[in-house]
Amino acid sequence: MKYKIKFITVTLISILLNLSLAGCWNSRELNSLAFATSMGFDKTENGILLTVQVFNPRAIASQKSVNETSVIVYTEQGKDAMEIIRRMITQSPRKINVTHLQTIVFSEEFAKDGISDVLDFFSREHQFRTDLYFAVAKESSASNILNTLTKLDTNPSDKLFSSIKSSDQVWAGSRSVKIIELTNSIIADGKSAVLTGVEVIENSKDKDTVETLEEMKTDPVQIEGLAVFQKDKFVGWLNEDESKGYNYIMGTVPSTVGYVEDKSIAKVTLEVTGTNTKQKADVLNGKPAINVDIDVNANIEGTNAEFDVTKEENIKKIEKLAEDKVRKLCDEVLEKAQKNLDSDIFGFGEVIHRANPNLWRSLKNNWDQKFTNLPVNLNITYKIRGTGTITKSFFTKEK
Amino acid sequence: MDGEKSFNPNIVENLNRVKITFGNSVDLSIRQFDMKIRRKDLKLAIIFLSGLADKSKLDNLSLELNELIVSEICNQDTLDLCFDKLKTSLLCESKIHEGSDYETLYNQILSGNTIILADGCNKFLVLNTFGPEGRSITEPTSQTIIRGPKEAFTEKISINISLIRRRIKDKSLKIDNMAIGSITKTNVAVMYLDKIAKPDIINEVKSRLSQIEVDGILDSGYIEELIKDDPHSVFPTFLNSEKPDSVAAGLLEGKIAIVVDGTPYVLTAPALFVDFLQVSEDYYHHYIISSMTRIFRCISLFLTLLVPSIYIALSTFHQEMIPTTLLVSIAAQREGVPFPAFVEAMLMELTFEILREAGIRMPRAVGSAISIVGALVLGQAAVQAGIISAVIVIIVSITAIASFAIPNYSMSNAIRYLRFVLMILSATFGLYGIYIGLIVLILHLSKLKSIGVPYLTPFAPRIAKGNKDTFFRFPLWKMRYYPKATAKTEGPRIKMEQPVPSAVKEDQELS
Repeated sequence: MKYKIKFITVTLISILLNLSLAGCWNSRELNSLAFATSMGFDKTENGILLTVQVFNPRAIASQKSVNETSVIVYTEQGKDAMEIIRRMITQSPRKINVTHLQTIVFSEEFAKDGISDVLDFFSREHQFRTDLYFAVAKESSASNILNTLTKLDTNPSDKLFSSIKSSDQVWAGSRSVKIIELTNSIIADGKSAVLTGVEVIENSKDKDTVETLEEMKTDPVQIEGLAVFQKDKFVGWLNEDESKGYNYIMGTVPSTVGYVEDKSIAKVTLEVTGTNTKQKADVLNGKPAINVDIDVNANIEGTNAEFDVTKEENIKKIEKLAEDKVRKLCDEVLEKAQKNLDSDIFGFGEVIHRANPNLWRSLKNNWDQKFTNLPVNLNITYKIRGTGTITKSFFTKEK
Repeated sequence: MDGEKSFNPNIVENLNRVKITFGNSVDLSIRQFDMKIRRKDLKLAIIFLSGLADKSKLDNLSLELNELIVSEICNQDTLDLCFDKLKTSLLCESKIHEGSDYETLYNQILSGNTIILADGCNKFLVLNTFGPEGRSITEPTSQTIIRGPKEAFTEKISINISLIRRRIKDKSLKIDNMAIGSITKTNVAVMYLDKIAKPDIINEVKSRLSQIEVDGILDSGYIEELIKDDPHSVFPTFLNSEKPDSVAAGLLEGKIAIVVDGTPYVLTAPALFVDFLQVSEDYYHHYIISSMTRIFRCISLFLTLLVPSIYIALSTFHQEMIPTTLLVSIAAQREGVPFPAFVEAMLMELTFEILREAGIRMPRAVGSAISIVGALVLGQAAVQAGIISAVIVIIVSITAIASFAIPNYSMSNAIRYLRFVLMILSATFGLYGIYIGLIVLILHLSKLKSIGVPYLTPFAPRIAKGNKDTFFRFPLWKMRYYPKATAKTEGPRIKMEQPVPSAVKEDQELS
């Protein structure tokens, strides 16, 4: 009997404690949270201007079409990023939740001052995901980019996220950068960081309405080139061709399309199916040199009617032309990086470090200066693997 | 009490006593007749309860008695000789014995047997004529299958025993009878295969049954509750089945069947956790298909237990774990809903439980009204009114459908009850609460025993060969040995290798 009373009282007390002490610790209802999907950092005189783009469930929820945009943008100023996010509660009726953040955009001025403080915040705060994409806004402010509506995805940051992700897979004109790669590049002595570039096509009319959006012919937010950093400060841009060359040298071209042109053959389109790049360091008389071997595999995607792809010498001609083109792209980017920007974005310093640590120790300081005189030899082999599903074009005139 | 007095040979006195004891009930039949003995008339009387005695047996008895009276075989010198001759001449009954006190007289009449009293004799004859009307053998109502025998047990214990005997024609099948319940005196039979079942388990079951002291046993559920190892656990430790092939299969593995008169549900002990997820149909289909079906059943077990709790935990505590696009659509649906996720889920689950219970109890005439009310009003209209979100309707439907995929009703009841406990835990502690709940559940299951055999055999304690029949069903020719948990011998029970058609065998000889 005593055991029974004890058992009952213990059970009752545990249930009561469960309900009162646990007190719904950390439980937040879904409609008391605002999920931020993009953040933008701008520089102001006093500190940082933070723009947060939050998605609006009501616009998706209602069955009648509302004239509300699917995202809502909040802007706030301050000195410290975390403090600003909290201060946004003065504007937003719901608490800003950063766990679903997809992209972060910096403005050029902000990036010129150095992004390592903000990066510490991103790596330390437990609520941030590690698959965030970082980008730098070209010739515009980050809040401008976040304030622009886009066409296909109703959620603009979704669109930005997907664009960056897809470009990684099918377009060599830019690439995606996540936080771990970014931090590693910044702290490494022999490598500098690059970030995706985003720009807004300017429109003379007011951008914030859905009607204006429908009138525009191109999507206002586009990915363009790469931003180059020295340590953690922004120094310059690579345009589309230079970014392609960068990707070739780094070996991160998954698949892309280009064309070669010549007087005798008009134009042939090539689809690159894969590249294989090896970077090796050679030391001659205490001076380092880098050899880059690039193997490119491609398929012919389009020819002009006169061109006969079944002949061996024609294929060799195409290969030579393509090789020259790739070499030109790589030379352009090497020139830009070595002469204009003084920033070793290719990681050649790390390659030398791995090959010869003793030599590296003496070169480590001021590597960016020494990088400008580093001889780089390119060795490009271009192989055309296939011609698609037909050999000769349908439209060849028989001679 | 009549039993203390010795038996009065006067027939008139005895008949009066019987009439008074049974209170002149209308189904007590007393027939008197005479038989010639030494040129005098011997008064005989037949007593039976017309509700309990089998009509055809009584017809046979009357025919035989008629012949005996005419042929005068019983015309012997002494009354005792006459009595013995009568006893040995009656051939129609399988059992015929004597009795000589009033308690036996009343008990035998109440058991449906016929009593023959002779005037001047202080013994009486008892003939086995029990055979009341009952339901005939029909299809099982609750455990339906597609392929397999469609006979089900009925309420008569003799038919149930014969259904099992028909399938196991072995002389080691032993049946022990006992009468349990001081007022109902229900017939309970314990059946087992002597050469396979473990003797400890047999003795344990018999001793537990003999310790039952209640006034009435109306269903095998009473017996289950009274001999359980842990009466406070919601998990069933006895497998109840309406189908004779399931019970026969259990007997072949060394289990013990408890057949209770008056109910078509036969208990099988010891029952393990995996037994409740198995259906006899698994053995009648191809082994790969059965294995996949079993895996689906296990998945539905987890679904019915965890889906509402996981929804509550993820949407209230751990929003970061939901993929962003799914989160957008869930958040969109929850706009304007006044209740928190936990209250929503609880409301819908309770509504479904009420619907389910009403569906079982209501008369068939209003059956369609329930489906209309349930589907349209509670589901569709509530979502459109903005009281609940559409996601919760989907979740409750998945949970409900998955709970019907568990073959044994007792087990699905247990899981249903636990689902509510897990929902409360997840609403207060999030995923952490679900983990704690599952850990406590597994601890409880590991501790549970069914007649001394641990509930989670063959997972814990791990019997390597025993896993051939749990989540997968290995082909029949691979399950060579008896299950160690319930059988006393190892086997082998299957003495063939994989079946090979004779054409292939000849080829092998040639090569």
